Amino acid sequence: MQSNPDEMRDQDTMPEARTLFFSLEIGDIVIGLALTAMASWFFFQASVLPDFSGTAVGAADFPKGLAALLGLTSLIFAGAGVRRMISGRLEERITVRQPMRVLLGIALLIMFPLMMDTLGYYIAMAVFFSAFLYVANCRSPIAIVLYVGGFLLFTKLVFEMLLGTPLP
Amino acid sequence: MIDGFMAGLAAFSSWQVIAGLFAGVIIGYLVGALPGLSAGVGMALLIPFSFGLDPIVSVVMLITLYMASEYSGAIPAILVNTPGEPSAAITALDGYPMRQRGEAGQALTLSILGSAGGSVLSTILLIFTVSWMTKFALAFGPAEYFAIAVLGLSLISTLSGDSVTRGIIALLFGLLLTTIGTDPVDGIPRFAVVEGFLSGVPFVSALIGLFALSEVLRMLETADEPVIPLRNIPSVSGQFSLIRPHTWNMIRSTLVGYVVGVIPGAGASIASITAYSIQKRLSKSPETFGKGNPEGVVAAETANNSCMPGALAPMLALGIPGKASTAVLIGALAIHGVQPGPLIFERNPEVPYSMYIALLVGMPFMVMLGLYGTRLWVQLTQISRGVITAIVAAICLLGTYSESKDIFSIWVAVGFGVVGYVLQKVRIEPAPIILALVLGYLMESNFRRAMVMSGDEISIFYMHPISMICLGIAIIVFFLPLLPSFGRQKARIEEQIHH
Repeated sequence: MQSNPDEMRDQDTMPEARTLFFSLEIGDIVIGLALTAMASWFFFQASVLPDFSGTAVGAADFPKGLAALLGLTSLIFAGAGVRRMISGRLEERITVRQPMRVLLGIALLIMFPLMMDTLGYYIAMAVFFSAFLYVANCRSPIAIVLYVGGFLLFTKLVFEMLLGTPLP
Repeated sequence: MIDGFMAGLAAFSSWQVIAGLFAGVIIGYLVGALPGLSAGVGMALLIPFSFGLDPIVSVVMLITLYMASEYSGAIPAILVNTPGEPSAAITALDGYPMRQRGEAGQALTLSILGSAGGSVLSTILLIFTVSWMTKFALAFGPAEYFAIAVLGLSLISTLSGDSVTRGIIALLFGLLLTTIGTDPVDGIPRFAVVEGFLSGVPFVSALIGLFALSEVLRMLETADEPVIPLRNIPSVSGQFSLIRPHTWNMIRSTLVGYVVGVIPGAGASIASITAYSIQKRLSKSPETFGKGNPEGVVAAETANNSCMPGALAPMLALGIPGKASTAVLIGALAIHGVQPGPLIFERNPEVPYSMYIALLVGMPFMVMLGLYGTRLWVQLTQISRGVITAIVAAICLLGTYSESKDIFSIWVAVGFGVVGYVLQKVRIEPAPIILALVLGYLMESNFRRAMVMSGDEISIFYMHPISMICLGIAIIVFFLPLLPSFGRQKARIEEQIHH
């Protein structure tokens, strides 16, 4: 029950790594404009929806109202970002540590359904999992083989045999 | 109520339900003790495993996972100053200094007993509150349901996250996504650019993407975080008498946690900090808070664990999720064809009663695992972050596929994962999006039904007293953040949580 303060875990120290920095205002403007564009698309698509309801509120009205609100709020959001940039009152920075690792992770996630469609679940998962482990800093080939093998075995036992989920 | 409990107890005679309870507690400990994974992520990852199971087994597993993960976040918080769950950050304020003084065993014992006491007391409160709320809710019509959904969403958007504008954007984004698919009243397909969206945005895929895959991408950024070896991990004392001097603190913190839990949007972190602040004010030695005062550990842990049953009250009685975790539960129940709300007690009484029983019966097991498994749970912080990230990513993809047996759902999950990651970078949290995905359909369908019933008279919403009160409060909640004093207070709480 007793413990020595000297044996505490040291303060976490993250190794130096390439980090992408940009201001929160830039992010707000980009996201604000993207959401405005999305809201506009919904609004115009809703405008051409047929109305068979015969009531005051039809199929198009709810999405149109929401799209208008989202578009307006997002524009205000982006505008606030522009105003802060102009006035120099910048808020915190957005950081993306190891951006290449994140991009590779996204690329692998996108590749997985493509591989599964053509190669089937087991091969696709073996390729995806080993590549993802490598990207996530697990570099020992033995560890990768063990983790991948273990996961595929777990899938076979739990999903296919116990839960009866067929995997292609 | 007696019949309901009998139905729930009958369900517990099955070995699968008992196995589900044990599995839920163990997985909950795993999820809670691993920094980066929250109860919501754990539950989202567990849903795919529950498809092939009986609904009761599935519910019991999810509810005990939720309960255990809320507690186990305290273990790494006390031992290594790394909260496994965000709400455990408040526990670390006094728990870690106690550990530094060599009182880790006492801190862990108090945290588990406080959690257990809070959870049991608030489950009892839940049983009575839900029974009362359900009687009330049975008289609700579409106007009331619409108004309650609006109130819930207004609270969620203003209380979750650190910026009201960002919360509202997340909410509107989620609500707009719920309009994709077949219109709930006229059956007209809307915005279904691909066939897969005809039945709406697949909820489980969106959930896994927004919650878990976005977290995977965030964890990739720190996948190279070195594992610092732990030495001399203390064991806990297991002395139940340690909690006796803190009885009133525990009861008070339970009430705080439960009430905060019932309020949509206010999560376990707010419950912890509120109970902690109250205890600090009432304490005879407030100056020792933050320096290893056991009262702080008990207040924080009791409150964050009693928050969970509180969050179940609006979910069970009204079908309205107040937290992301309860939204996940609603999603899991929907998969099994169970719709939470007042009618659940007539149609599927075994479901809510087995939840109550799971919370009460699972507690001794949780206490035992907490008291005697500390050495094991703290070892979880020794697993490489990269390996955890890759395993979670693989489970997300597998789970998404197994829900729909369709590769389209994987595309949806990946899309939501990337969107969730990008939105989190600009501090737009995924929780309001998830809650909007659950409440959007309820809002639109009830709004339109109310309009049809009233012959297109908008007055239906302000002529009915409950609906009028709820909408009135929702308007106040939306405008409250504009008051400078509220803004300052919220910023102070947020700052304390971030610290």
